[in-house]
Amino acid sequence: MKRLKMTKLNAVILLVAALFLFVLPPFTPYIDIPKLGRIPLSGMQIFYAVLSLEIVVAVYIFGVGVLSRTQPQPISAGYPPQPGSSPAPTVQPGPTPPAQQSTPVTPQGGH
Amino acid sequence: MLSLIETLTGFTAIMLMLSLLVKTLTSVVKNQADYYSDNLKHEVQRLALETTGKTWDTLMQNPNTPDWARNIHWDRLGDQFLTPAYMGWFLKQLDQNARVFDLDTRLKIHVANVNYAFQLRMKNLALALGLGLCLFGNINALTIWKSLYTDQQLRATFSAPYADKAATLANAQATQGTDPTKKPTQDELDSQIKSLQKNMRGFLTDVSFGIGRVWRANAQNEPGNEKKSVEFFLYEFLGSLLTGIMVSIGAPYWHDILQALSALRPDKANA
Repeated sequence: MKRLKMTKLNAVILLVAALFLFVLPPFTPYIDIPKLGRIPLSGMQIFYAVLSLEIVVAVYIFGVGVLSRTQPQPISAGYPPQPGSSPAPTVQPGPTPPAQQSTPVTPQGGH
Repeated sequence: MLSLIETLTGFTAIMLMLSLLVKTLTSVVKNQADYYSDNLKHEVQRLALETTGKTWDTLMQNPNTPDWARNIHWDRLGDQFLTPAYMGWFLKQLDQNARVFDLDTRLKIHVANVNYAFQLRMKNLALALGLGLCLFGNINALTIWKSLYTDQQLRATFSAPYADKAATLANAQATQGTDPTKKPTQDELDSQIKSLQKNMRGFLTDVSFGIGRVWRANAQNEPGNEKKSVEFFLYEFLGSLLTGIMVSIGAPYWHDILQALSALRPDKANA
């Protein structure tokens, strides 16, 4: 479900990026920044600037920023097992842990 | 053959200088953003999820969670937080049912994850900054190569004094190691930014050819000249993109190549 959401988000980002790329350049003569006045740039220059900006932002967002890693999913709704519930199938090789150990040691091993 | 070696040396020296600029820029951004602690927090959250089965948000919303756990300042927190004894206690504080076993081994994996993710992010950051610098500055390696290859005077300048200057600067920067978990002081940050500005100005003064042509490309934009204009922009875009990728490879790589090429220079070879 979350994967589908991410794919949708990526598709929307791609669509917006493509829109910016082709919609902005024709509006160049009308782009006006109050302090700088009208920007004397051609459509191709705006296209170049927008494409460059999109590449840099994409590399940053997907490589460094918020989308650079996926959040882990909860393992399951009934985790960890409650006392009294059916125990997970375990094999118990080796010596038993010392009695004074406070943390429960299960023999499943690490990850 | 000699002109080719000289061109290669000059080109490598320019790439090395650009790589050093990107390295300084990456360092400045890294010190402002503190990516290391962010990765550490992410791994602690993963460990909490693995041992309790609950997401971090769920754990924080739990009324039994102590207040101090909600108010942890993750800024500049180092690996010392990830010890089995401390994490075992910490996870039990978050959830009494947390299954804390084999913490020593698991923490080693998480610490390795923190370091790997941090290195990867730094490489991606360098790539993003390198691409940004080259694309917006329109620094085109193809034009730089062409200029060096065709202009003998430029070639002589960049294959000898400039190459030595770049190598010296690279050696000086290589000795400055920084700890990712150490918070830099304001003075250190200021000096880093000043060094970046100085190096950038120096680079633009020394290497003025093949830079920023796209921003003054009025001749290509005249009516009836569209095809030429598209070709020109495509050439500049691809050249700058390639340059951005090349300078992000890393200063040590260019430094090694420069040293190998410098040894082939006639004055060095005869010595």
